[in-house]
Amino acid sequence: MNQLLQHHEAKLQQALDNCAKEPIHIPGSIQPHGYLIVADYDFHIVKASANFLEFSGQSTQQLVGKSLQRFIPADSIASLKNLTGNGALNALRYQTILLNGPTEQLTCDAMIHRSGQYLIIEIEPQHLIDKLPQHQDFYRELMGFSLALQKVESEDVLFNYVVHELRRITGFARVKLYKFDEHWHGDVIAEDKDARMTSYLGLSFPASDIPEQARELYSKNYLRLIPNVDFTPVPMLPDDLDEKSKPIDLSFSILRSVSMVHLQYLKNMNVRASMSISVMQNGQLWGLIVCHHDAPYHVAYPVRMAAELLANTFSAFLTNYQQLTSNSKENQREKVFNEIVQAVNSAATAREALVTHSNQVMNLASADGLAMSFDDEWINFGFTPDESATRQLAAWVQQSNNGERVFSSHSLAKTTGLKTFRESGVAGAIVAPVSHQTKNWLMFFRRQVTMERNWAGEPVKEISSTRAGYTLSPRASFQRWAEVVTGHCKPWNTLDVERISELSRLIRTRLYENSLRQANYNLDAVLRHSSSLIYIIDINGILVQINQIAVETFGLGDGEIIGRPFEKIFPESLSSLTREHIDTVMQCGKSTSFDDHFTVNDTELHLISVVFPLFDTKNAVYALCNISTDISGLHKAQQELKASNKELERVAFVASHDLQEPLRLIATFTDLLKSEYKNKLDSQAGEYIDFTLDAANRMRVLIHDLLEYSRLEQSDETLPLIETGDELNKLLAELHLSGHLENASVSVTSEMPEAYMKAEHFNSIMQNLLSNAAKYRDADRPVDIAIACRDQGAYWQFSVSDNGIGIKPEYLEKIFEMFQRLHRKNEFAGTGIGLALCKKIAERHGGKIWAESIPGEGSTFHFTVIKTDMAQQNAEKISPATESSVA
Amino acid sequence: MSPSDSSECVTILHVEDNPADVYLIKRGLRGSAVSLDIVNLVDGEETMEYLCRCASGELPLPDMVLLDINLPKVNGHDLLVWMRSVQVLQSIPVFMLTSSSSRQDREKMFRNGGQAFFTKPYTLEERSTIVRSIENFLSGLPLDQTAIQNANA
Repeated sequence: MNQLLQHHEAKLQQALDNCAKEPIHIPGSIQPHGYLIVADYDFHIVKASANFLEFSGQSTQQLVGKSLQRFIPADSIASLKNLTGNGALNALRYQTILLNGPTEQLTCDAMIHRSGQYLIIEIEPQHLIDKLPQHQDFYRELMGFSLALQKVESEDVLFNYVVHELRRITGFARVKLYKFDEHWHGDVIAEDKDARMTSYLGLSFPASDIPEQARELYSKNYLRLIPNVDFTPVPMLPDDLDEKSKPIDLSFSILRSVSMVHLQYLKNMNVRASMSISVMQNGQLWGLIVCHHDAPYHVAYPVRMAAELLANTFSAFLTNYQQLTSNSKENQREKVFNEIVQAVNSAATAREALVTHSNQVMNLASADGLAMSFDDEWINFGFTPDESATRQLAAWVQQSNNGERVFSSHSLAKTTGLKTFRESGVAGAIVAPVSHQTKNWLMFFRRQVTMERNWAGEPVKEISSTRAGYTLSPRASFQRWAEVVTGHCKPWNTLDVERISELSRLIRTRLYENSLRQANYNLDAVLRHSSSLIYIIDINGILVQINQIAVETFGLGDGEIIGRPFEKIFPESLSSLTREHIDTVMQCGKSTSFDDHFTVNDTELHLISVVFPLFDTKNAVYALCNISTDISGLHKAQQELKASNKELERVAFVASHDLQEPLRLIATFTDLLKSEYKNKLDSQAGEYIDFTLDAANRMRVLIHDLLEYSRLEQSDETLPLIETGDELNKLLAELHLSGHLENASVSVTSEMPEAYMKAEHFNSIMQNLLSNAAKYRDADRPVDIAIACRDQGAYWQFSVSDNGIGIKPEYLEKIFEMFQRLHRKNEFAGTGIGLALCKKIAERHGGKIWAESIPGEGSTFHFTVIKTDMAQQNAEKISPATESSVA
Repeated sequence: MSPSDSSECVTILHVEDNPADVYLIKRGLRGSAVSLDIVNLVDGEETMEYLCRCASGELPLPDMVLLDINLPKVNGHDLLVWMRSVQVLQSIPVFMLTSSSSRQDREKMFRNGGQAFFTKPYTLEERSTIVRSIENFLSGLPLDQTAIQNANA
């Protein structure tokens, strides 16, 4: 901070402190327009103002202790005495008296009140009074005023009427109605004045113009009078410098002297006489009625009393008026609020209600804009900041109060520090969180209102250096000094904020109810459409919920079953089973699976069930839920399918086996016919016989392969661990011997592993691949076959490569299908079963078979077998089938 | 296992219910050096009865049994097991001649004490192999395993 400014600030603070310290309620002097006498209750003089000594022609010593009866007639004393009685201690009492001096007799207004153990008697000689009451009928004056007030239609009219009336009654040149704001700055809201006077209407006066102790005095003593600002203070005598004697409290004195700063202030304003009357609202100082005159001006006590009564009537009426207007406004709001509440309660969703009633919602807080977020989707109405700004604001509120309370501000940028609101034109917001998540919000916005405040003079006090340190010297100029206030909106009404808070609570409840209801709908749908049997039983064994399919499956009928003990509803078998399940789950406290076979109403059920505990909000088990799947149908179908498959395999096996017999005899006897009747038949017959033999032979191979294929299906035995290398060597020897590998060079290029496989299967697959490799040879080069095996983690991968004719890519998969042949019979013999058999063998061993080939260069066949014993794994799952004894 | 003296007549018990097969073997063995008496039985039960009579001495023990597997009433495997359980019959050589070519059947037969396993022939050549094996065996020559394998190929 600027050092100079800092210095100024410090000086100002000291000066203000000094001003606040000035004990204005116990000055040692009074104003000169009357006499002040402090007496005991017997009207013996304790103290008197110097001017009374002058009037009486006596010294202080002569006067102190003397009875006032020497100056005031006995009957007047008596009536004054009466005024002090009857309780009302501090109330001012007034009486016209004759004051007898040595040289003159004065008609005076005498006021009397008690202050501690003393009576304070103030006497204003009427000849010093400029304004005497026009008539004594205060009652009529007041009556007329209050009747007129009844007809007032707006506050402005009311205010203007008050200042007008006060000026009429008191005769001051200017009467102002001055209203305090929340910072105790005052605004002149009404004024009635003579044309010659300067107008202060619409101007503001800083709080420091009427410091706190002055305001405190104003709220005790409603009227203050300074008939002449240029007065010379009159001391009270004897001048008690005695520390022990308590100073006499002159708070309720009319004549008491005033602060020099205040007098200077008035002089700077060209005011020569002043009278202020407090306007109270609900026990608080609301404002002042300030009467000014540009010349010394003294109004009589009865006039002042009339003015004060008027002001009091106005105060009372204002309270009433404001309450009435605010009540009607309030009623209107309440009505709107109730409409919204009703809509929120009756609409399908809170969102729908708020969207259709967006205008009313906005009016609830007299907002310019409304932004609502439902599940993070923002809907804006009226004048609102953009979505990113509302999101930032939501995040800020969430962080600042955990999203639990309604936040309101009429100066958003300042309160939140969010840059986005600096230039947005939005200055105020009420932010109501409507769910515990950060997804639902209700936000009200108000535009920025640029206010121009016209100060009566630049509100910086002049500070002058005196011996007592820095003291205030009031400003010399009261020229209009305009200040522009930005970044604010009209302040929010506390009641409105409360109502929005209530609305947000309601919406929160509705949203929660909705999600609850939705969850219930979902659960109902799940229960209704599930093919599982679902039911819930509480810990007392009462059936809480059950779905229709369960009711039907268990044959529970149409009667009332919900809310009854399951043991009275369920058939015996189910009931005892359920009891077992409940006991098990209650004991272990967690989800448990069951597999039960039982009969209900002559129907066999095979249920796979899961039973789990349901917890209440206190995390205690309150019920158990059972979900069962009836697999009896499935199980049966599975068994049937298995049996039917077995049967089919058996049929295939038997068929192909039995076909062999007649075929074999056809073949042998034809052969016999050929050899024994060779010479008796002609060449044509010999040819026919050869065709027959050829056909029979092909059929023999076909049946052999089919038999092998179907036999593969039948085997379920565990697999032996074989040395594939040994098996391969034996096989190669056999194949060489039988001529299958004629003129072929075969190399085994890697080590052969141990594998879980039947030797005949390994032989079968290898034999097929090897004979194919030799069969589909390229006529132009000698057959070269390579056999290898690679470790592929969980599998062994065997490969047989050749340099034969190769296979076109489009056939690479087709060749493994049954009866799929690529060549005419006269090119390459074959049944079309070999590779299908290989495929089946590989699959039976958890592996697969595939081929790679470059046509014209050769093919490689790969097959894999799983390293573990497949059959053993299968055998554990499937019950072993009895072996066929057909041979 | 010693075959019978070549000078005597050799009895072969051919258990087979298919006459065509019986004929084929009989015909194949027709030109043998040894004189053969081939007795044909058509079911397992009948064979058991026959062999019981042999065991009791009522009938002479056959020199060899040619056994089919798929027989009415009692199958070949069971018959073999039974024969090996009867002391007098234990030493009679048994050849299986069946339409099965399965390794399972062959292994089972050897396990049960059979001497040779042949798959029934499709061609005259196959028949010759079988007939030659029988003749060799009866002449006291050792059984040629390769010939048996080939016969099954």
